[in-house]
Amino acid sequence: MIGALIEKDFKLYFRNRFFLVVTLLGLVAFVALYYLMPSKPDDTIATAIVLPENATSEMKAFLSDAMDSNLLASKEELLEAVENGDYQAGTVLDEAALAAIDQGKAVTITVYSAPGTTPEFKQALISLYTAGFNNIDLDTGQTKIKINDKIIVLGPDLLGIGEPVALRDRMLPLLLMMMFSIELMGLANLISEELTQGTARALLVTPLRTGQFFAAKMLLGMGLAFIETLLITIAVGKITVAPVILIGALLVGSLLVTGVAFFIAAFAGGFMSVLSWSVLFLFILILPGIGVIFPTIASNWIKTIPSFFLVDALHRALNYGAGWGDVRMDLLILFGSGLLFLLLGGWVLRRRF
Amino acid sequence: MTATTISVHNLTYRFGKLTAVDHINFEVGEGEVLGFLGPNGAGKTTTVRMLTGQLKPTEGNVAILGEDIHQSAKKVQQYLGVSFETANLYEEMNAVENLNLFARLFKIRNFKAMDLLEKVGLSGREKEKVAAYSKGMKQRLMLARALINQPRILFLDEPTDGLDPVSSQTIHAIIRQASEDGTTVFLTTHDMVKADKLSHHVAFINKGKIAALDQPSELKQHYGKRLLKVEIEDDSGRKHTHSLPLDEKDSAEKVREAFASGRVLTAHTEEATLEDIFIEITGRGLLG
Repeated sequence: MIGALIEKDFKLYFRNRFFLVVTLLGLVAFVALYYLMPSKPDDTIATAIVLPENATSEMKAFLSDAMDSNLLASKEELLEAVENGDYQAGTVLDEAALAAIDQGKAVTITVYSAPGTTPEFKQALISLYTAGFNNIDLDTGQTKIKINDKIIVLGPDLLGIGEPVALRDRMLPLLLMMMFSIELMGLANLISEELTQGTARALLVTPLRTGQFFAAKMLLGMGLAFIETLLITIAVGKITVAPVILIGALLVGSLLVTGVAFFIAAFAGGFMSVLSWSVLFLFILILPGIGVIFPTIASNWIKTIPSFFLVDALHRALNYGAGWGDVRMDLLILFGSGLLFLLLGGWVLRRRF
Repeated sequence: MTATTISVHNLTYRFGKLTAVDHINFEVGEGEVLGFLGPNGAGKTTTVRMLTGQLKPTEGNVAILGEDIHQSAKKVQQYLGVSFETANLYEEMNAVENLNLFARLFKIRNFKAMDLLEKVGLSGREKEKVAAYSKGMKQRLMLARALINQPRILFLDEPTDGLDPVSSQTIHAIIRQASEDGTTVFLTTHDMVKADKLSHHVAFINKGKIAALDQPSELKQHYGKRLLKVEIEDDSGRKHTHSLPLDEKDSAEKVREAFASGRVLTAHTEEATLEDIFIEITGRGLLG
């Protein structure tokens, strides 16, 4: 009986053109997006500098090299370029500042940064300029102090401070969450239709038991979510990185989205209602994935979102070589959350039959 | 005496403070068609839901084929066929796919969907999506679905509501055939004329209570008033129609007077309809 229902639901899922297109599009687009993103971490900061006319050509060459800055002709040109985003930061050294540096006096320099610069990045720029200028001996052109730039991060380096992770790899957990969310929407719609069209009632006056009805939906939902996300990890070549953990995490993640789909279907009535609820949950569920891409924007409350534990497990396992011991607790919490949603949704759905 | 297939005792259902079904009692025998009649909101569908194991009664009990439906719902449901009031088919699938799915749920081997579709007059349209079907076609497909397991009891909730005469006739013929084959038919409707034609017994349900339960002919005899309708032309050429009750003390005198008042154009007796009786018993119409 469960097999017959799964077969029927599979047909219906893919006969819904909206979900067919969105699923296929999701599979192709997410893989394409992954490959379109840089494959290597971009840890360079583009800066510009303006020096006074009287600076010697050696000095100009040296300063621009030391700061890894492009030399621009005027302050106006620099301000415009920085404001346009051509450079992330820039500074202007006038004759007085250059003389002061030459004499070893303290100098205050102004750093112009591009619009939208985060406080963390501003701090990084200050450190960069301070270190850069303080280590330059303008007479000899030699570095006064050799700074060891090796950074040791204590605990898991999820911000990518020590070993930056390529953007595409930071993005992968988010892409997987988005694929999960598409599946969530499709399954919630499938269950909701059984209620709104009354077909669930027709099924349940046959020897089919309510538990079998739910089991069929759960197996289909988990199966589709798991296979679709697994396909993405295969297509991007990540399946070999930590295959067992990856499969485990995707399975438990499939349980979570199936549970959320039950929950949505329990409260939604009709396609538009499912869509609205699903979009709301989608935004919540993908937040931890966005937090991986932009680590500094993520606050601690993000850990209250169940998908955080999936994203965290995937990010650690795929990008930092975490083992079972590291992700075990994540997967356990994820499993518990999935089960909770599933039971709660199932309970409400049962009352709606 | 045929074997009892449905036995209902003190069946009650309450939605909060509202009593939808109020201590009803009845029995239905094998091969019998029971017309369960009442206006919208009288408690018909709630009763069907309790009889088919979809709803647990607040009070009372239901024995279907000798088993308590709520203790052995899944065992009993193997022998039930249910056609719902509103079309609840898988609209994105075709008729054969719909029937095959339910045949698998009933674990029927070598099921031939086409035989059933032919029976309900849907052969030739079997590959079309149900979404493209008319209301009558959907009703016929639902009936076919209810017949998949050759049920011992068939529950039909408004099976011909709003259908064209051809679809209605097809469904009536199937109901009669099922009854002749020994299937009990529980027919829920507010169409008294159809119920009169099809039912061995009718039950009037009003405000959750059974107001009357008997054979249609017995109800008519007990509650109905026979009338003589006479059309008479008077001396000035004007036509008058008289409805004369036949069961009153002075009926003979009134008939004599009417016949003497002019030239009799037409005269015929008129029997009370189930609807007349329903109104007489409950004081309300069926659409109210």
